[in-house]
Amino acid sequence: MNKIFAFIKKDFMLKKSYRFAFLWGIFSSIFSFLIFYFIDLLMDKRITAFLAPYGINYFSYVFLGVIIFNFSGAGPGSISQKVYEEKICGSLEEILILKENLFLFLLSASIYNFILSLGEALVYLSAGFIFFKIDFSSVNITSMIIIMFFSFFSFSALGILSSVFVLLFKRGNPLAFLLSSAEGFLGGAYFPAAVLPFGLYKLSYIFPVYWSIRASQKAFYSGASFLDIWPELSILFLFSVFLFPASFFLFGLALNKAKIKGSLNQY
Amino acid sequence: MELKGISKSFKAPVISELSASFDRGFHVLFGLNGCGKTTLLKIISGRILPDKGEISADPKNVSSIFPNSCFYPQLTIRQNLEFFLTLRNKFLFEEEMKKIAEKIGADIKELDKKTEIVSSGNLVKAGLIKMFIEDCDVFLIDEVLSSLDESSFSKTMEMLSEKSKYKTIILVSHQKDKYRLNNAVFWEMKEGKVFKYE
Repeated sequence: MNKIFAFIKKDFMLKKSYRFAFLWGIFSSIFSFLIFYFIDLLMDKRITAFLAPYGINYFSYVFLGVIIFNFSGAGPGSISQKVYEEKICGSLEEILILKENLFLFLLSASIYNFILSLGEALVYLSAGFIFFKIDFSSVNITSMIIIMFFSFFSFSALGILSSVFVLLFKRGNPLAFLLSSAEGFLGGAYFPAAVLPFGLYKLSYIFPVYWSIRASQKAFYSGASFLDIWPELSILFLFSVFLFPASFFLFGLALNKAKIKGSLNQY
Repeated sequence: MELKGISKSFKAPVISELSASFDRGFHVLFGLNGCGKTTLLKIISGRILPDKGEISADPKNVSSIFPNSCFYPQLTIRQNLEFFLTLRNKFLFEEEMKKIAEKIGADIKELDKKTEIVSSGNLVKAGLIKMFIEDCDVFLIDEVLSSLDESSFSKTMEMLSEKSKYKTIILVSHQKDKYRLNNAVFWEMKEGKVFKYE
């Protein structure tokens, strides 16, 4: 526990040095929400056929969708960015000398990013409540906590898998780019995936963020209980149970390869 | 510490079937630039894996300091020490840190400065403090002592001499003459192997 706490404390101390970038990131996201808000106004805030299952207008949908999507990419999913930063600093080699630190490093990175993203999400939700008049009256907090719990492991797994590329190929991280682009388009963040033609709609199923957004929309706006979102939760559970351990195993293999190449501190 | 049949190649062979026994004491390793001294130290410390061979030392029992500091520029020396020592299951006790800093001629005031504004010599001292607090059975020092001023160098050598009575210390340096008074064992690295140098 001491080591996990040390990792997280170190990351927060480093983040303090980049306060402006952090605040700018939040400001940019809120600005994006404004764009979606006015697009929704343009459409008279109608609930279209594709939004009817959720019972909400477009802005309400995209507001939560983008928060969850940001959470997946900038939160636990940004572990690859953390690995890259440690490489540049020259500290990755020192951190991963001891095998026991591998698990702790990845877990701490996941937890740290989760905490940061949760903080950002709370800021956005507050802005949604105060400025955009998002309706919070039906939120099922218990369901949301369970969704976030399984999403954490699923998104972290993808983040760790993405960082395998950083270890092996130094700079090029095609997986992160592909994941981010594909998830953005197919994940249901910006529009319900049902809008997509039949074939593409099915592709959405392979992304954890799709199930997370689908479950969250129901729990947030319709007060869906654990049983109501059981299909989505079971998929997220499967992603967590299989992907999370697999990602650690693959990272361990990649670390071995990098130590043989002597490339841990190269970028 | 025993090395048996260590081999390492990076496109071309760097270390070839290297076997050596480093007893407790002070060892100075020298050789031409690019002959593999740093690679050997990184293998012993666990930062790089050899292609072949065995090392009797466990990376848990090896402390090392290399020219490129691993410290985070945005954190102070003290914050860096706290973090990296925790990774080694060690705690940073104020009194112990101050005692070691005094012994090697480090200015305590430098410890609360961010490493990005600290001089290279003081960064080396920070790395030495870390190494002495870790207090492992094997110390590896890669060419960094040349950054120290004369007084700090003498003090550090005094401390290393004391430690060498019960630890294995391997120091890479091109300046053999500086260490002749310390009962050092000299090793020359060439053609991928190490040879005792008389």
